[in-house]
Amino acid sequence: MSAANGTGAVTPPAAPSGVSVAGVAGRVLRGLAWAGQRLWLLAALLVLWEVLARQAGSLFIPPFSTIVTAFADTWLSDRLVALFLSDQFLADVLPSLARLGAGYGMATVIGVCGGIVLGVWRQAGAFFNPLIRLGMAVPVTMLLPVAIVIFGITSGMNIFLIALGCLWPILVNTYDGIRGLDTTMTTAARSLRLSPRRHFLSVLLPGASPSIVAGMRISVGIGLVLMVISELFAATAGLGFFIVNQQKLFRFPELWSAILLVALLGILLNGIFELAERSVLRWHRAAKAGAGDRR
Amino acid sequence: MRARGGPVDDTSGKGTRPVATGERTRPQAPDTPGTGPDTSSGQAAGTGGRGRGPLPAWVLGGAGVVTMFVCWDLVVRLGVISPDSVPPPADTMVRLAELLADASFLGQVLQTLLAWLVSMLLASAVGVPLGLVLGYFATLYRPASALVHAARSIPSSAFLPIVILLFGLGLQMKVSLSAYAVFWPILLNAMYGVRDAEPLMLTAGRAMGWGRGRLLARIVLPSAAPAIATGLRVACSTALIVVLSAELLGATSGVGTVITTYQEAQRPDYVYAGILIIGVLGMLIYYGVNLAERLLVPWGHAQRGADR
Repeated sequence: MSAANGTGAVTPPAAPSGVSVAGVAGRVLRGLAWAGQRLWLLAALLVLWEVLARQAGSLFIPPFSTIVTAFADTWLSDRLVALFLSDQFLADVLPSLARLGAGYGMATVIGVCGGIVLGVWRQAGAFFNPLIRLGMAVPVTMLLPVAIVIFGITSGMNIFLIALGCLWPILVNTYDGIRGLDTTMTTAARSLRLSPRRHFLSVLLPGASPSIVAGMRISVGIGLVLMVISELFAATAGLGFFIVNQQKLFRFPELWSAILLVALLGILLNGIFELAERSVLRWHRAAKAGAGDRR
Repeated sequence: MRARGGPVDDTSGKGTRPVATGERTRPQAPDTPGTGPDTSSGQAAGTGGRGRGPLPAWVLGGAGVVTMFVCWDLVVRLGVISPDSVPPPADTMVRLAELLADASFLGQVLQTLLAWLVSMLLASAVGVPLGLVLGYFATLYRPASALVHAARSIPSSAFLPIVILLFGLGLQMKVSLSAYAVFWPILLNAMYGVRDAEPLMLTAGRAMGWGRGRLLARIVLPSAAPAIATGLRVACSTALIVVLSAELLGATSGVGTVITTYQEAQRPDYVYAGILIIGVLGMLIYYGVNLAERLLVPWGHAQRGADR
């Protein structure tokens, strides 16, 4: 993944000059140095894996290079039309991602709306509090057997579990966000006699959004875990299904390539979320910095 | 005051989430008089017509639980869902009592808890010291945090088939999978905790001629302790989930296997009773850990409150 970058760390940045080409080169070098500083440990560990796995010769844990080859064979193709993705990718990864998206989307809508209602309407909050506590405490995977009875082995089962697992952090974080709003702010808003709509859109929602986004971010990871688990347990297509199948066929490089793909998906989703969080909440950071935040 | 807060106390839920983003942005429930019950008395009168001031939170909460049972009963009685898939609540309660009196079931619960405990001990015994080291040395911190963020994004469940092949279906398999899953949040929080040590205090310590050991013991560790505690608390819930998932998907002992057995025997009443018991167990662990955190690192909560 990053062996090439490891060399970049030692290259000194190019001397600044008037020519723009040199400027570009310097920027590239600096970028390489940046990546190298961060990724050398990862690269070193992967090399270590390669060496150890070659020596051990275990059937279950193949060398990393074998996994990468299997990854390219299984998930990538040379067709531009399919964005260089293989049929296997379209057959297994797309259903998984669709389930994840559907479940996560439902959880976000229900969680944010429910959290706002419970946060604003205190009686409802107290009413549902023990139930929410219990719901959070039950590990969602324990509902797998029950969900299969209710939904059968369908995508609906996977979506239900993903949605339920993602729901709690979003719901509770939204609630917290509304509840934790600065009292001076809400009092000020009340004394300004804002219309309910204005109050909601310009006080409640912006004030709670950092907390809401934090909850949504936690849920992405949970959703990914549940996507894989629910498909391992029962599915007719999808990444988890693929993993189980390869295990039964004793095709371990392919199995590991699926794990690698899940890992890359996780890193990608996290990265996307981090970027989105940074751009959506830029005002929040600016406000905090302006308020003389000590950190 | 505490009871009425609703699910305020914690956002961490089940996530394997680092302290850095969520914890900082999370507002603490304000315990100022402004949130007192008097502000909502009008709504209380409106909702129930009870008129005499607000009801205490536990009454409403109890009403919520009762309502859920009534709704559950109605749904089953009216035949919205067939009793084959969802049993009536009364049956479930009877089974719940039966299970709680059943020694072999309790033995399986202990098996689950044992796997949970061993994996927690293992992951924290390695994760906390390693995190302290990685956080303390700036040259190691950056590459390590990139690595940890990458590893943390991998759902542990994807490793389940491999782990089963490597370790079989016993305790070892559950422990290794769960320890892997909780290792990252523990490590990451320890790293962040050390990084968060106030530079001014470190400089002051150095100016007083303190050695490295003394700096660590007097400044770095106390300021890292709240973050470490947060990591451990998050890990406690995650470890339970992972252990139970491993039991569902193939293990020879534990509550998860009991539930799958009843599922295969088409006894949904036992399945639901088991799930309820696990839910209560999860709640007990959650509150226990929260309490322990408050007792062991009291300055952590105070600090977080002051942060806002």
